[in-house]
Formats: sequence, structure tokens, C-alpha cells
Amino acid sequence: MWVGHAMTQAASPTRGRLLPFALHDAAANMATDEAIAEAVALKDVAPTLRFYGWSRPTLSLGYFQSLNDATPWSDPTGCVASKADGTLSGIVDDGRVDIVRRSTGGGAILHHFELTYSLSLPLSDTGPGARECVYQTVHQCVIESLADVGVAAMPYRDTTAAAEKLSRDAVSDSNTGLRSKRDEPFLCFQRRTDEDLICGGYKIAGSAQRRVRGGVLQHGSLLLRVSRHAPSLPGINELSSVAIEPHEIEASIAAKVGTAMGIDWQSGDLTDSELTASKRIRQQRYAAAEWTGRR
Amino acid sequence: MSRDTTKLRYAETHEWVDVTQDDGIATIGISKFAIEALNDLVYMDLPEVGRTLKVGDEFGEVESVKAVSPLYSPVSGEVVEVHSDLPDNLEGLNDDPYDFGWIVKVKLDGDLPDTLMDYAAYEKQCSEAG
Repeated sequence: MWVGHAMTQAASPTRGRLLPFALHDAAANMATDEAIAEAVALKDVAPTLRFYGWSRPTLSLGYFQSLNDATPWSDPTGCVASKADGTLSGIVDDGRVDIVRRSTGGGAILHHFELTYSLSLPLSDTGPGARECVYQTVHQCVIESLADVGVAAMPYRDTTAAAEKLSRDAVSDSNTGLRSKRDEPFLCFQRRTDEDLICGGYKIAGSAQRRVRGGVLQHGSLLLRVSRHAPSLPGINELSSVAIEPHEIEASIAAKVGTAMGIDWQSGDLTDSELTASKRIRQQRYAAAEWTGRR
Repeated sequence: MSRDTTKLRYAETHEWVDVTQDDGIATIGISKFAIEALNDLVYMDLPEVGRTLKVGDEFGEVESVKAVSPLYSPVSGEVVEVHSDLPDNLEGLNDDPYDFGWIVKVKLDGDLPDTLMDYAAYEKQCSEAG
């Protein structure tokens, strides 16, 4: 369980830090999340929920994915500066796509018209692996926030498609084993896991995690509109005719996550220590070609 | 011959250590409890032979359920052998974590840390974790 979980039944919730939506380049986004996760795990700062976008269209690779598979997008810089005004209209799209390698698992994501979040929590136990309850809690909150603006979404595990797949797998071993797991589609939004959110038959949200010593970092993406760089992946706007800007839904998601997890979010800023760490991590990892091309 | 899990030492972070050969080499893997918690391993990274580790250093990483988790070294020393077939045979790690599933061998630098648990203490930790 995460450190504050035991307090969810208590009268006073745990204090948390909320960092509102802003656009940044790929390397800055990833370095900032890692710096936050480390500081949260050390309990130097409160549990943190951060919303953000990408100042240029960006393909983020899952930690274990091969850069060779990203050839169709092919510009592994990850750190091109651009002007950004804090809304999706501030994204600079000159036809190129930055590439960055995440620290979290899962498949590649084309970030363009998207609400991305990172949630950093301290953990009180040493057990390895995913904290699936964090996936479930955040995604349930996203479902409820979407419902408030007239968008119907559900976890993949509750869909007819999932039930049919389960039935097929029960009579065949074709989808079991390591090879089949690794042969999943390159793009995360073409994959399906139980907690992914589905709207109109398409995946519109997914999350992945990184365990750090004493904590967990969860990344997640909510696909608001289709990108010309991944035209086969419709977003909420195409699937439901509801146009959502990040600032129209981030507060609702934060409030619901806060209630569900017993966290009282208060708007904050990065500490000087986090800013310093972020700059270091950016140079050492996410803006470094060696990191992006390590597989 | 199967490894006797009651003779192994265990780290709080669920790595097991076998020093029963008394040759100064520690064989290291991850426990059945950890593998069940990881659930559905897909990828694993191993360290390079020759790398020097200190207690608590990250010596590898695994991915399961879209979560990347580090593996922590329970001992200090030099990596002298890695189980290079393991990342492509993770089903074998699931099935047999204490024999086929060994991950690295480390030439010990000094004594084993006092923080390593015996089997009974580790079982207690796991039962308390639920």
C-alpha cells in the first residue's frame, strides 16, 4: 500500500501537491517526473499529481522498447525547445516528432493532443511490481470525470471484447507465453490491458509505472483528439464529439483522485532541489542520445 | 540438485542469496513471493560481468504489468557470471525461481550484511505483507 493509504479512513486527509497543466518538451517532462518521484519517495515533498502536455508532438518509448521500432517517427532528439502558451493550441507541429524513452513500462505513445499526468506516491512496503490499485483508482476517477462532461468510457476488462478474448484464450494457448507478450503492437494505444479505458471501442487512456526505492511513479495519457502523426488512433473528440481542453477536466480528475486516495491536493511548485535534480536527470538521461538509443 | 530454500538468506527487497558453496561466490535470484507479486514478467535487464556492486545497488530491472521495477543487490562484490539465457526464458523463472531462475553470481567483498534474513524471518515478512 502507499504510505497515505492507511489514512484514507481518518478524519484528515494526507496533504498532497498539485502541479497544474503546462506544456514542456519531452526531456523536461520525463526528467521532471523522475525528480519528483525521487523526492516523494524520500518524503522530501508530499505525494504529487502533475498534469502536463508536450510542446511538440512526441513519441515516448516504453522503457524496454527498441528505438528501431520507432523508425516511422525518427527524430530522436527529445529536447527541442519551442514556444508554448499552456494550451493545446500552443503545441508546435512542424511535421517532426520528437522521441524520448520513458522510465515507465508499456508501449510507445504518440503524445500530441493529450492530457498527460504523473502521480508520485511514497510506498510503505518493499513488495516489487505494479501497484495495480493505483491504476484502478486513477482510471475510475477519469471515467467519472469524463461522464461529467458527457463521455462514456469503461475499463477494457468490462468490455465485450475483453470477455470474448478471455473466452478465446480459455480454449487456446496462442496468446500466452513470453513471445506473445513481447509481440504486442508497438503503440500503447493499439494494445489492451484490463485497466485501459475504452470509448467507442477504442482505447482513450492508459497508464504505466516505475518503481523507485520507497515509491512509485505512474504515468498516464488521456487521448483528447486524434493526431496526424497517429491517424489510426481516434481521441475523445472523434469518438464522442465532445471537445475537451486539459484545463476543463484536470481539476475534476484531481478532486476525484484526492477523494479516492485521501489526499488533499494543494497547488504547488517544484522545489529548488527538484529543479536541480531535473536538470541533471535531463542531461544524463532524457536529452541524451545514449539513453534514447540504449535498446 | 534443487536448492534448499531454508538454507538461503533473503533481503528485505525479496532477493535470495546462496552462499552454501563456501567458495566466496554468492548466487542471487528473486524469491517465489516476489515473482508472484510481479505477476507476468515480460522483460529483464542483467548487469555486465565485472561490474562492482554495493549492498542496495540496482543490478537489474524487470517489467511486468507495465511496471518497471529495479532489482537490488543484497551483497557487495563483483559480478562474475550472469544468467544470460534468463531474459528470454522468463517462464522458467516463474516455474523455478531457485534453480533455473538464478540471476547473477557475485564474488563477495567482505561479509554478508547483517540485514539479510534467514528463511524463518523472511517467511514472517512475507506473511505479514499478505
